[in-house]
Amino acid sequence: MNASLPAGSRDLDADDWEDQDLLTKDEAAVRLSNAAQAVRDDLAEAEATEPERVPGLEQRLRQIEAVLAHVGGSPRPVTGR
Amino acid sequence: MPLQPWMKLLSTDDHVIEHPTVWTDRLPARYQDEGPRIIERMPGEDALTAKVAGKTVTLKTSGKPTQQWKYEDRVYTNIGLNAVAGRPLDQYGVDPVRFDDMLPGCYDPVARLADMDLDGVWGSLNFPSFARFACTVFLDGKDRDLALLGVQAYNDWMLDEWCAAAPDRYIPLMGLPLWDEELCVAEVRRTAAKGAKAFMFPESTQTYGLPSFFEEGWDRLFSAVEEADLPLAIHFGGGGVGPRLTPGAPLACSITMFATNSMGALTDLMFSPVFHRHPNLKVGLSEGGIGWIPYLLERADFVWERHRAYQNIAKDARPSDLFRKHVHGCFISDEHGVKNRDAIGTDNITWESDYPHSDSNWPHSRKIAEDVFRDVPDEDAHKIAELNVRRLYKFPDTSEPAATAPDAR
Repeated sequence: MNASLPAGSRDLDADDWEDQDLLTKDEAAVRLSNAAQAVRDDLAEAEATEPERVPGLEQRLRQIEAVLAHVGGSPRPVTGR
Repeated sequence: MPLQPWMKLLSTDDHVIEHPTVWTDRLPARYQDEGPRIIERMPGEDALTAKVAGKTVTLKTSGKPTQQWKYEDRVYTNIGLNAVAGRPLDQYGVDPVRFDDMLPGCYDPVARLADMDLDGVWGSLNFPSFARFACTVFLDGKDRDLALLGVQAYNDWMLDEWCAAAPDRYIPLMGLPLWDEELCVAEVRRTAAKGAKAFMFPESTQTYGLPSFFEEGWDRLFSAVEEADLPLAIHFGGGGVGPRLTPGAPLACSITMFATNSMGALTDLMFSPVFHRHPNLKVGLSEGGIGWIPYLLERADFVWERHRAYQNIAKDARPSDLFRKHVHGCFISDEHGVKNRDAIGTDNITWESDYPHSDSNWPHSRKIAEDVFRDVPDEDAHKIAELNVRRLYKFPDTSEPAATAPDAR
């Protein structure tokens, strides 16, 4: 099957129980950016058709942007002793 | 909208990454150089290896200093290894990360709350990472006194630091010193008195050389858990082995088959003496999904009807009855499971997020849960999203009346 993998990719040849498969910062930033854009689109539509939804959407956008800013850089160094 | 805004979404399976000083903050001076601590390795200082399916493999790194756990003389590379599932091509590979590379919500309870708010999730039960899903890393310990202190330090951190940040939102889940049943009993009692709400247990203990569900060796522990009136939490993979795979099969096969670990654990429990000896014991199966449960119960009941006469299994209780009395499962987004909720038991289902693992739907968990619950009556949705967790984990709603469930549409 490895021969059919996309160029530049490789496969793990075995299960890895050490793997935590964490959501990376990059992956999180992509998810958040997409979420922010979806809310902006909703907001533009709501401003024209459903103004009562606007405050909620604006609050949601602020939440997303705040977390996105946090994800963009570590708030403090995290080290051992 | 079936998941009403006033319903608080509670997750029974999330994960913490233990921050670098969880143990050094708590272990006595004599164990500072032996207990779990973070070490820094410069690029090229030495080869990084990990145990993969029983083999030691060399890992490729990104060329920057890495952080790794060290416990006694063993180095653990898994502060946050990331494999291949669903990643952009340029991120393919196995690469250790530093804490600074992680989402702060992985290791910081206050940052986690912001991530949960964004996700529309009110409450969370968290499993460890370095310590593994049932604190089994301490079974590796050569010094059993240190290992016991290590388990206790994790539990105290979870209770006093993580959950203390928001006692109405974090559900304290405890590890146990599994190598000694009497120590387990003592730890159940110690932590229950401090506010513990559940205890981790491996799905298979025999893989660690410990007694299985079919053997003597856990009755005093299970009795203590019954006395505490709290559940055991069994996360798949906690037994230290993955699903049985064909040699050469890609990781996708393993990820797809994870739930078979939960199926094995449930089957063992239903045909073991455990629930007959411990009629008040409750067990939660984490991350295994629920869509398979109706079939497994149907099959187990069929086998019980046909084959119980000649085997050493209980003659007077159907496996499905034992399941409904003792076990609950959870799901992230399991259409078949939710559709067949009556065949499982609406009292036996909880929801999970799996943050910060990539299986999580963060930051859209509530939105996706709303979609999954779209045809579910309010009463059932409320049970699955919130009320079952409050009942099973003895986790009453103590938040201020003004607090409402976050709305993450």
